[in-house]
Amino acid sequence: MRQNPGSTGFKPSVFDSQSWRMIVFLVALALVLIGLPLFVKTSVVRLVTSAAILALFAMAWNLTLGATGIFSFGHGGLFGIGMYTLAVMMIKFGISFPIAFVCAPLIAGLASFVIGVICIRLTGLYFAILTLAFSQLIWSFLWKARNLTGGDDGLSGTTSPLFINSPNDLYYFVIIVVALAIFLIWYLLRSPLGFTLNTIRENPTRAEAIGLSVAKFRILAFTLSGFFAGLAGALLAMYMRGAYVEFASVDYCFDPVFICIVGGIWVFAGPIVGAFIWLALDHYIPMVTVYWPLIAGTILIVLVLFMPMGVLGSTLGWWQNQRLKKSLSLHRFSDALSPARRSSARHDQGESTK
Amino acid sequence: MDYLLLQLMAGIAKGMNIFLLTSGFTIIYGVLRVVNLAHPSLYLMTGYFAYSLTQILGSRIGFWAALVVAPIFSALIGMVVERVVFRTVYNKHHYMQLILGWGVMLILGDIMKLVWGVSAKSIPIPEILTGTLNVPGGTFPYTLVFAVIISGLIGLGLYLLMYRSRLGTLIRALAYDEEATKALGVRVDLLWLFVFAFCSWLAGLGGTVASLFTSMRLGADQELVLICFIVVIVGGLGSTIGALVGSLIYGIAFSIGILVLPRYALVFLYVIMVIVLAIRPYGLFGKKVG
Repeated sequence: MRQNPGSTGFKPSVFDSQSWRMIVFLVALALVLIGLPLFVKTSVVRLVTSAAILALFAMAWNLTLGATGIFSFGHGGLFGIGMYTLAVMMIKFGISFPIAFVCAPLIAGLASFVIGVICIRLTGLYFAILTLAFSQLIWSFLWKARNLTGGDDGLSGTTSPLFINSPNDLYYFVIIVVALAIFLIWYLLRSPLGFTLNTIRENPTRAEAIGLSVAKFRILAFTLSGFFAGLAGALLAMYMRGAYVEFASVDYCFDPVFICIVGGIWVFAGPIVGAFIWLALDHYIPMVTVYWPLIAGTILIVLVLFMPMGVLGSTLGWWQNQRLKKSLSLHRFSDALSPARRSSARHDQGESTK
Repeated sequence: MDYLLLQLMAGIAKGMNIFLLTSGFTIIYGVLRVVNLAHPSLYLMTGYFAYSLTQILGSRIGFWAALVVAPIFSALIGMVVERVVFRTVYNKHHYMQLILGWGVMLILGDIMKLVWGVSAKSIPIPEILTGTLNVPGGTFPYTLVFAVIISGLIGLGLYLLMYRSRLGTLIRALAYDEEATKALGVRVDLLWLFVFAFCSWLAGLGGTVASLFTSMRLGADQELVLICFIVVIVGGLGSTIGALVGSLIYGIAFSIGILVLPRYALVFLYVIMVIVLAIRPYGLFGKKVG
């Protein structure tokens, strides 16, 4: 059913059907996750644990492009900082787990604040590549500073806190932390801050004109994003029982980007779905064939061509009968699905018909 | 000191070779507004293809035949990629192009693995190019001289094409204003196809020449993507002269970096890039965007 473009999904209530559906989805997901260890093997539990960590990482990344419209390729480095902070503090300095675990995201947030301040003059691809450069600098530092980080051998042997004795305990701990963090992100995006960020994404010039300090909010978004990426890194350090330099490499700069795109950038839960799909592809295809990049590449292309909004985004869009696939511009897609639809639904209509 | 001169010359030669790759990357961005992550894959793949040709035809004429045929092969692949994949995402957000390019890159990388196996391949050097040039401090292989000559000629040809021919004028017009170009009655889609094929041809030529002095190995395409990005960002996105200067900076910085701090050579490049962008946020020859 086609609606005319002028009335695309303008609804007066804050908690519209979209967010209710999202809440139901998240609650159902949480129930499944809680019950999971009772039914499946330990290897699957560990796989889901890493998927949850990856989901948090992708969610953190999505605070930049999805919420604020700045394109960062530098999250691998921030992830690595979180991971190494935990490992270095626990192994090299013998600091106890809770302090190290709190410090890891804080230090990653600090690093991303510094990077953000330096990079924020640029936009678009330039910003992306400059953050990539910083990420590579971090990576090479972690690689070369052998005394502190163990170089390419990595650091292994972080001890788990007392309440974690088995993979299942770790699983529950990770799930709870990830759920709390994701709730925090959701809350942030629902708050006035989230709406401000969305305004900046939709039209930076106009945001500047109504008196918002665009650069400051972008730095803030990048810092928050780095904070959560560091948290994900710390969780992975617990999962891997150490820190290894490949987790700060360029692969981990690209991964969250693709996870988010596969899942759907403009939908809140998109990165979660994306992380599970990504890890399933990464885990199960190599079991079948050695030529898995061929299959993964084909799947990626098909996904982007036929589900331009990501798996979750396109499914929801199709479900809502909102002409998502044939809409003229992505901005209008984002209007229809983002929390800030009310603030920007109008002017963008005008722009897309230009 | 003599080492320095030698490294400098080698750096310039490598930079000139990389220019064949980055110029195509930057032209595709400038004209089509597409970030083609798969571009370096074509460079690598053509190197492999040239290897196969020299195996079939023997070392006497093999390389020269490859020099003519292999870039055409690359252009054909480029045309297929453009028709099938990138056609659909012009004017879309960069991230969609990036993920499509990434997908194509994975596929091409796996095809290379499927066809040519996992071991590194290099081409036997034809007789004329086996000698070395005597320079103070050592010898300089003819292959690198050859690379410089080829790239110089191509650079000149590129200038003539873009600024002294009707086709080049149309391409620049297309980069400047697509709507107006369409309104003039130009077949814009054919022009896009031509630009894509031409840039793939350039990458293929670069790959063929590069196979003389480096070996083709799997995974090099991902490193080349990063190098492409660095060069193009330092030079300014969409600027061909910027790609030339950026490539030379890359070549020189990399070879000098290897001499001074062997393990930090790549970091050196990133530091240069950060400095350049701190001074000129849109690259040396770039214009402000967005």
